[in-house]
Amino acid sequence: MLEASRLLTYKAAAMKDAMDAGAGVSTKDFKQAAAIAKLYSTESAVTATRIATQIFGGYGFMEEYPVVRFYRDAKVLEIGEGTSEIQRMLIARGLGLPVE
Amino acid sequence: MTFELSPEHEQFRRSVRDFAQAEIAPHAAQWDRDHHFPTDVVQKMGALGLMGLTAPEEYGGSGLAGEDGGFTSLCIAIEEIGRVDQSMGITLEAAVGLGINPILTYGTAAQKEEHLPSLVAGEQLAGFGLTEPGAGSDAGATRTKADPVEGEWVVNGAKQFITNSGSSITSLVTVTAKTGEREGGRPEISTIIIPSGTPGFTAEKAYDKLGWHASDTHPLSFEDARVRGQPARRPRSRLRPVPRHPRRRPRRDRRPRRRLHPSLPGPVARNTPWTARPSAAPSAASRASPSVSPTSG
Ligand SMILES: Cc1cc2nc3c(=O)[nH]c(=O)nc-3n(C[C@H](O)[C@H](O)[C@H](O)COP(=O)(O)OP(=O)(O)OC[C@H]3O[C@@H](n4cnc5c(N)ncnc54)[C@H](O)[C@@H]3O)c2cc1C
Ligand SMILES: Cc1cc2nc3c(=O)[nH]c(=O)nc-3n(C[C@H](O)[C@H](O)[C@H](O)COP(=O)(O)OP(=O)(O)OC[C@H]3O[C@@H](n4cnc5c(N)ncnc54)[C@H](O)[C@@H]3O)c2cc1C
Repeated sequence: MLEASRLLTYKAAAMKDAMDAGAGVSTKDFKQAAAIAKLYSTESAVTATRIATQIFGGYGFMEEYPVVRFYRDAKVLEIGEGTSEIQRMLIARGLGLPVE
Repeated sequence: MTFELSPEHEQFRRSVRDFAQAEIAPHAAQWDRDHHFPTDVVQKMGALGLMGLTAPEEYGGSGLAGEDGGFTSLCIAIEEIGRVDQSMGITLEAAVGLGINPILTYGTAAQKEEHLPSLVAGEQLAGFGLTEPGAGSDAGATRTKADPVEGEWVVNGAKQFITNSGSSITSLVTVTAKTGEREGGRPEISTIIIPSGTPGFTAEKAYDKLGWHASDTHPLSFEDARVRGQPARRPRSRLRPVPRHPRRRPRRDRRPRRRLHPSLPGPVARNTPWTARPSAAPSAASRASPSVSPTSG
């Protein structure tokens, strides 16, 4: 998940740099790549930290270990700067699907 | 087929990681417990050049935009800071993406000249207020309004969940506001820069959040907050030009700052897969490009 998130994110970043350099990447393609990266990486962060707390058993619920903070901190990534639902809508639209 | 960052980008990653390990990691848990927003460390990120990775040199930035891979560098910096503390990661992300970027992209020359140097240096922070009670995902439902009165904009309304908007080093927020109606009854929404300390503009008490305890998030309220000048976007010609707002003019500090890239004079992104292998580039390169909107809060 981490590997896939990195690849998607840095691909989108490289597209943005290429676009700013006038190297033939369209805004539409960059936006699609960014929405996919945002959706996948943030949901991966929540899943990964949830699994991490589970491995800790009872301590996964206690503030004694940093893993709890990682889990708490991850959740909002699915909300801010366009929620997961909005990213899915944008991606669907980018694919040419009918989205109201 | 390999996908990897350039050696320069990996070297950059190591310097940010060293900084994060030394300055942030040892304190992150305590800041989280105390709900403490460490402005000194935010300013240290600025001194390192992290807020300026995508800004031109004339405003104190790295000048690494585009083919020099500045945006990729910013992503690396956010990943490395976020690796040890998500709160500082979002503080950096919002400082650049929501604070600097809208002004850099849509600001007038005067607005850029006035606000960018201290923001790019990370001495001050700017927030971007899009979300409202009743207008989150649906940004078109914005109810905050700005009416032109005697060469000023009079802003009324409320924003919520605004990052970097109420800290002791916040110098302004850029907010979206209804400035009229377009054909077909659709609202005309503009962005307006509101300096901190403007009478009628209040950053309310910070939220008590599930996470990101060391990130600065406030509800904002505007009651007849008056700002001179023009909106950052879609300046409206029927307004008389007026002098710039004199309040809280940021200190313009031109002393050379320590650069994060002392060893990186040249391009840092040429070897990334996307730029180095044109065959991997999207085929739709010639498609029409819709204009970019900064309102992604
Ligand atoms: C708020 C709270 C209240 C509690 N109240 C009580 C109480 O009143 N009384 C009481 O006795 N206990 C109580 N507990 C303890 C709780 O029942 C244990 O935390 C739980 O049984 C898990 O045990 P552990 O924490 O030792 O984790 P571990 O047993 O060390 O488990 C850690 C992880 O390894 C996994 N795992 C362990 N063994 C295996 C296996 N063989 N195969 C596959 N996976 C495995 C677990 O599923 C978990 O994901 C409480 C816990 C909490 C958080
Ligand atoms: C810590 C934090 C910091 C933030 N910082 C900023 C900031 O600096 N500036 C700023 O402007 N905003 C900021 N926000 C606001 C954030 O961008 C919004 O919370 C987010 O856009 C969602 O809007 P909302 O909260 O109004 O939820 P709503 O839009 O009311 O959404 C509620 C739920 O409904 C779903 N939903 C909404 N519309 C649809 C639809 N059409 N189809 C399917 N599902 C839908 C959403 O996905 C969500 O799950 C921040 C939020 C948080 C939590």
